[in-house]
Amino acid sequence: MIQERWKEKATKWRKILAVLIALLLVLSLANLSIGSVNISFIDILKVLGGSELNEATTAIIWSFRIPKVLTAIAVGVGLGISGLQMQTLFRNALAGPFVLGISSGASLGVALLVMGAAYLPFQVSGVSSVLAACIGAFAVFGAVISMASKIRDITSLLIVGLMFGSAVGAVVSVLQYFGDPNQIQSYLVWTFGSLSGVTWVELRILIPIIVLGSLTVFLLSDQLNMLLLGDEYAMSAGLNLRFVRIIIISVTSILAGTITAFCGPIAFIGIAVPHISRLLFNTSNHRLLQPLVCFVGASVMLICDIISQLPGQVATLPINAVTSLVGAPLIIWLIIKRKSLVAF
Amino acid sequence: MNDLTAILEIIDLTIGYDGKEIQTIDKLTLNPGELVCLLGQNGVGKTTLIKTLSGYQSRLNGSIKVSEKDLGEYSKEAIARKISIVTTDKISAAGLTVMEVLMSGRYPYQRWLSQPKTEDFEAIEKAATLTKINYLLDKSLTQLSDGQRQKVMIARALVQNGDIMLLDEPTAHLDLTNRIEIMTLLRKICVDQQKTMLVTTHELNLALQFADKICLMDFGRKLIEGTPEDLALSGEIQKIFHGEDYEIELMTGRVKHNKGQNLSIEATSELRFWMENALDRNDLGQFSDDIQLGLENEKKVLKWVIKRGISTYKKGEKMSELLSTLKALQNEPTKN
Repeated sequence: MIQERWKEKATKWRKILAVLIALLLVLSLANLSIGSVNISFIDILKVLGGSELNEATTAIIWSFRIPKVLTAIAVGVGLGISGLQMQTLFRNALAGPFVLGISSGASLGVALLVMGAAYLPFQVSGVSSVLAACIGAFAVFGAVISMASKIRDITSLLIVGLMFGSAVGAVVSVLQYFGDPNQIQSYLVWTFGSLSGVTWVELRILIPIIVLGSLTVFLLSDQLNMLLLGDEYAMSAGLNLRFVRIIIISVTSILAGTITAFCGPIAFIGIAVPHISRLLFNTSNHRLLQPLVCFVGASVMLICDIISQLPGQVATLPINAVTSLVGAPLIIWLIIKRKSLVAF
Repeated sequence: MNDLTAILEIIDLTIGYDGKEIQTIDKLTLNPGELVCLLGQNGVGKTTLIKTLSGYQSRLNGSIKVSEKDLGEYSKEAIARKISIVTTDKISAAGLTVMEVLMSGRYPYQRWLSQPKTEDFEAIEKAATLTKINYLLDKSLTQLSDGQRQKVMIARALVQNGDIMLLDEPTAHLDLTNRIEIMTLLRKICVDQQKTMLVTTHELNLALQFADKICLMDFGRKLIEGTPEDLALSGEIQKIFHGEDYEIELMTGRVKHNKGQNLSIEATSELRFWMENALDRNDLGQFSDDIQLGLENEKKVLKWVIKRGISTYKKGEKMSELLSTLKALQNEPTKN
């Protein structure tokens, strides 16, 4: 009977999730051990267990490595989830967390701050660039959400978002053109993205936002599935389309905006992770897909961070380059293997 | 029929979008268990009417009553439990399995984030059995043919379990077998499940055969409703389906060009039918009075014969052999 088959499948998915949790733990440990100083797994477990090793190792693990691992997980989850929201909302495989122009807004905020540093009464610091990025992101979000309630056809919103993005991007270009080379350099460094700049204090803001945002859309899994059927079917089955749209846009903006503010505009993960999850697990059902996207997003981000550490003591690669270098071939390989992109 | 039993009642409804009026419907009532086909040309407002009744578009004016209560008085979930739809949209996000699509039909019955209950599975099983798609439940929508996909969407509408189903061109893009299969299925659902269906279609023949009632929509005219037979005999259908130089023979569904034919044909009715088919298609109409077309049995082989007066002008086994001769004859000036 179909009810039993449904239950069998649910059990199968629980097993898959258990495997993914294990994978995530292994990747986290690997990530903790790799860096300019290599620390063995055993030492890491000892430090995590609370025993005091030498002071330097303990400090590296607690003050640098663990915040970075947590940041990588938060970024992977947040961008994966917000990318999925946009792909489902627009029913478009090319949509990602930044299609609404949110990261462009954040970039503008940071660009204005960095380029205008000479005229500002205060010293530009990490905190002020986070604030500037937040203000930029939320200004664009405000504009998009006010458009969203006026526009009926959701595809128009996609175009409006792209237009916002280009226009804001152009302003940033103008600022760069007139900026002084040092300022341009520090702006460019920000655009490379970084997972290592986030402190414990900042994590206390970042992690709750990612957790709350993700939980909110977890609660909307059925509604997201309805959106896949198209607006007309969704509405005729009793879905409050407007409400769902506004929640989805808000959550995406908050997740993408916050992550961009703390870590810079990290490309590609948001578009790639939902596709990787669908291709690997062959489902579009959001009740399954959303948890899968969280694990895949976190794992991919940890892998990317490990790769960015590979040059060892010499230097680290910019995370933004690594995500694309890892993600693009992975998606191409999956598509070739499956012969097509699973149309959500 | 008694108005009291009407499940859906439309009075003075103006439909359109962006404030632009498309059509006004004075009166339309749907009764339980009725299959109603909505016919009319492209752009006359059939789809807009469906979208207005489903609540996807707002009406410009007038009243829509569902079970004697105005559409606007229902909550979103309550109306979803009354009316379900099948649209012409091909679902683009098609990675969902058939089972998941059917489960979405239970949305108006489920509590937030609850696990599906036995009654949900029962509703799905019933709909899948009725539409004969049990074997497709684990497939994803991308793997289905157009006909299978349409059955799945009908099953989804059934799972939603409303009294009224609105279907926008359910037979579009389907081959003949599938069109007939879908219409037979809809008819069966109407009769067995006592559902009311409003179906837009361009398939005049299928509508005439399967509909309990036909509604005709035309530009600048009132909506006309009636049984297929009444509307055919009163000539209303012919009024809608005609152009300047052709009309439709309802009994055969054939398009007749208004050129008139004076060629006399001697043949059985079946052969005559195909002969006329060829003449119509090739625009062959007027011939001089002494030309006749007939059949002769020559050594047990049937041959088409063109006669001129009493003498045989040309013989041929295949229609193609005669057509060029007929074309040449048509161009001859009429002898008086």
